[in-house]
Amino acid sequence: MKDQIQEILALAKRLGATYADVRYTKQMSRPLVMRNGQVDHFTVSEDKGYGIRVIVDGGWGFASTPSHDPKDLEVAVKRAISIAKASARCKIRDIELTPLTPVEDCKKVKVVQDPFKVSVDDMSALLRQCHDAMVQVPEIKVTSGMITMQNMEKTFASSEGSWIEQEITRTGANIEAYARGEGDVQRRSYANGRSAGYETIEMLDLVPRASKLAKEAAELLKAPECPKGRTTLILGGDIAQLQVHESCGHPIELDRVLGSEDTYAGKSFLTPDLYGKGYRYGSDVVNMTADATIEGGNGSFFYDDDGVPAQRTTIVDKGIFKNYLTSRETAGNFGLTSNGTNIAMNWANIPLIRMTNINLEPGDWSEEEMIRDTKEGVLVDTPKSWSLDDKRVNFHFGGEIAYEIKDGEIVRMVKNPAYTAITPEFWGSCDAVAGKEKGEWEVWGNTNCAKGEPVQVVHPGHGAAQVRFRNVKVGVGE
Amino acid sequence: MIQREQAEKILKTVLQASTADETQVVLQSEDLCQTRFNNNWIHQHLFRETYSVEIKVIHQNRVGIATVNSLDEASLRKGVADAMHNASFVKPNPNLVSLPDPKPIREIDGINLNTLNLSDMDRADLVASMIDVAKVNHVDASGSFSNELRSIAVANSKGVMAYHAGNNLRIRSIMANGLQTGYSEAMATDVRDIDFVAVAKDALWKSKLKAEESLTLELGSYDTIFEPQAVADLIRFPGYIAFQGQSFLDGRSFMAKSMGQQVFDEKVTVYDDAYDARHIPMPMDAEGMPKQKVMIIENGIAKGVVFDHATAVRAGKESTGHATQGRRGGPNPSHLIIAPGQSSIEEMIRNTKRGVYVTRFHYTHCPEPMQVIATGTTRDGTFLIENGEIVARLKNLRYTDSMIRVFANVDSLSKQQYLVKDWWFTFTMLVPAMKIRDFTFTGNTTF
Repeated sequence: MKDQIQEILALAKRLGATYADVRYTKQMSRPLVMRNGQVDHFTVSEDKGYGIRVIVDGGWGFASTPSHDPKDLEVAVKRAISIAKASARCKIRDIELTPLTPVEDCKKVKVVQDPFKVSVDDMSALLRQCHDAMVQVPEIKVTSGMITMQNMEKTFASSEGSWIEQEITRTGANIEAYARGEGDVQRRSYANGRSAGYETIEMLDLVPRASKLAKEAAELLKAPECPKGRTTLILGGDIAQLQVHESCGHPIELDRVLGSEDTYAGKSFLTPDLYGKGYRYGSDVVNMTADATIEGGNGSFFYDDDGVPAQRTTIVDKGIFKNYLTSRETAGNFGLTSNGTNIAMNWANIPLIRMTNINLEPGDWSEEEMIRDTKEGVLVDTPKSWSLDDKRVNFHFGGEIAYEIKDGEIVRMVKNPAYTAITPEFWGSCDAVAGKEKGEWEVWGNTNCAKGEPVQVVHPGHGAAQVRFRNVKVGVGE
Repeated sequence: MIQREQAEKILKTVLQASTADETQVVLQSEDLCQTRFNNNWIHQHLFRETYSVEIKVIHQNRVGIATVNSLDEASLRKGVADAMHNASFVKPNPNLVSLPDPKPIREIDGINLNTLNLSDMDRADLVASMIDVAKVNHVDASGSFSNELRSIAVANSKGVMAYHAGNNLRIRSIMANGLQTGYSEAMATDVRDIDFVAVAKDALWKSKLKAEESLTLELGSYDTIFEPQAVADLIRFPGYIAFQGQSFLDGRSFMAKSMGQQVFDEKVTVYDDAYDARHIPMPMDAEGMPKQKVMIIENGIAKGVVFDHATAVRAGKESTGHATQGRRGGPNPSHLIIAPGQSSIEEMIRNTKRGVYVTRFHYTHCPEPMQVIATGTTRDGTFLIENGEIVARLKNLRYTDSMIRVFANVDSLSKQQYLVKDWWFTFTMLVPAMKIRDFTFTGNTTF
């Protein structure tokens, strides 16, 4: 393969490319899906091919092909060149990449138990146990469960001399219970994943969770609606991680900030004029990082698709906005070098700036202390819906479950919780972050982050724990 | 793109290699050109060629699936072996639904040569014509231009052998006049049917309209006029939550208990018709079943939902040809159409004493599926109407409302229908503009 890729790079240069890179990826996935206690389907997928990216006349071109035939690869190189020349028809400046020292490296995610070697009987037995635990509750009418695993072998080579091979394995699961009552359906679910092997599934403790989720779903049918009005809001870790994803992770993507995603994903309120000016994103207790180096983090890797090493970057320090996620193309706008977040879903797509593990760093509270310290409020957990405007300012989140808090104690379960706020005001009202007790802070795996046209789905991670906000507007439709 | 002859050869190779009781194979190919631009330059530009072969076997009441993207015989045979291997691990399901028998399909020629022959430079030239509109008017153009050629071929061991290829293109334009933006889009199978400069000028007009300042609207319920792309985002929720057979059978759809009852305003008729020539026509689904026209809401009365083969059998019905490949949540509408009314956007504005005009939505979601309570924010041109005229630009708004209530409160629909996609790209739809009484806005943005 090495000779073939070097030939592609050489051909691109002969045809006028001032920069070229080739990404070969081979991706295996093996989801096992169970519905109502029966295996719905068990799929093995293999997807492989080449993506070729060039700069010609100062414009970008990209072409991809699933073929390994040298003739088809030559056609793809020529197509990438043709596209770059067409791009240069509408340019305002030449594309410039920030400097990078070429690297030769080979890295692999640490896997204790290869998920692709786990017997399907064992996996389906585990999901069936989850189903059996759920249907002990009579109100549960629909259950589902899924175990997912993905292995990606990626080779990156550039005309600057980099040659990087990396292998990333991700494993995860989700389970769902639907309770049906008179004119009402309530869902409880759990989903998580890591950049690791099947040992992940054992860590997720699925069967006891299934039983708890089912009971909660049934109880929600009888629960009163979540009270509406301004109150103190505590987010559980499951919904806090998505809050970080949507209201911090996306707004710090520098390509979005510069307008690249305008037609679809939108822009960002963290505009370039705020960079380096001490802009207050949140309160003093809010500290956020982007860290692609966390072992086991779902968003961890070794090099991005510019060939830049994975890094840990401070995003928000004591509430002050510090950094964007950057690529080699965008970092130069601020006189920086890339912090290594340019990632493509696979060989067929161009790299975009994507979240790695974007974390709300642990605080010095425990969840118990937080509740005890709350006179009146609601604790909401597990995202059910989320919606943000095109600059990530105004948002609305719905949760699967909530508990009303009065005088420092949880007094009852309530259903259909939702809250809405303005991002910097919301994080500005944050006065407590948990993480003091073992297990409160964890890196959650997000399996469904979509961006770009054509849409690319990637798998970031988010470190989060329970977190408290004051004076938040709570209630659907309010 | 994979031509019919090559596709059939691949499908036959798979069927011949399989020893399963039943086998289904779905071959899809896509050639996609995508040109994205912002701040008056092309910043992303790609050609993507992809294939996928999904092999599904049913053996002794067990299902196994394998997907490969290599088309050589060895890879296809390995795919069959993997699918059989997968099935062998699965416990038998006595209630498993057998694959469908073949049905005649009325074929459609979906290839438009004018669109097919567009070169990379042709696409750049069309984008340049829109950027020129921006430059002349001192605004910034952003947008996305996609040109896709797709084929799907389906065969099964019971005799289904079906193929369709088609192409289409879509242009989306945002013009940024400082902080004020305007949006327009167009979609067609023939590039000659899209006036790119007109699309740019439509977005430009909206970016310049009442651009001096943006007012903050007092929250509450307002008569609201929606452009067609905003209508698409409103009907999307009933579309994927309630108008499909799986959620209908599970009781997760409001349609489950409403068949034959008045659920929407009597002016609202919603149906799915993949043969409508104004749509991107498609004769078959991912099981090789012919597309049927399905009446979903007729004059506001719940009439039907769409089915794939399995959900149809469970419901005691025939498949309506709405199986979706790769989607495990069941069937989905594919060619939604909202029947037109008698009005026009201009007339709707004229007939509004005080109301809101919405160009499009962003990132909508559904916190409460049974009542289809949805939320989202407006973008790229939200305006205040007073006494029959647009009088001011508004800061973007968040709505939160039940789509059942919204479609029960339809005041008027435009005579003209438009081919649009919702923000999520879930559906391509043919819909009119729409005016709703008392649409509920629940939040403001700061811009």
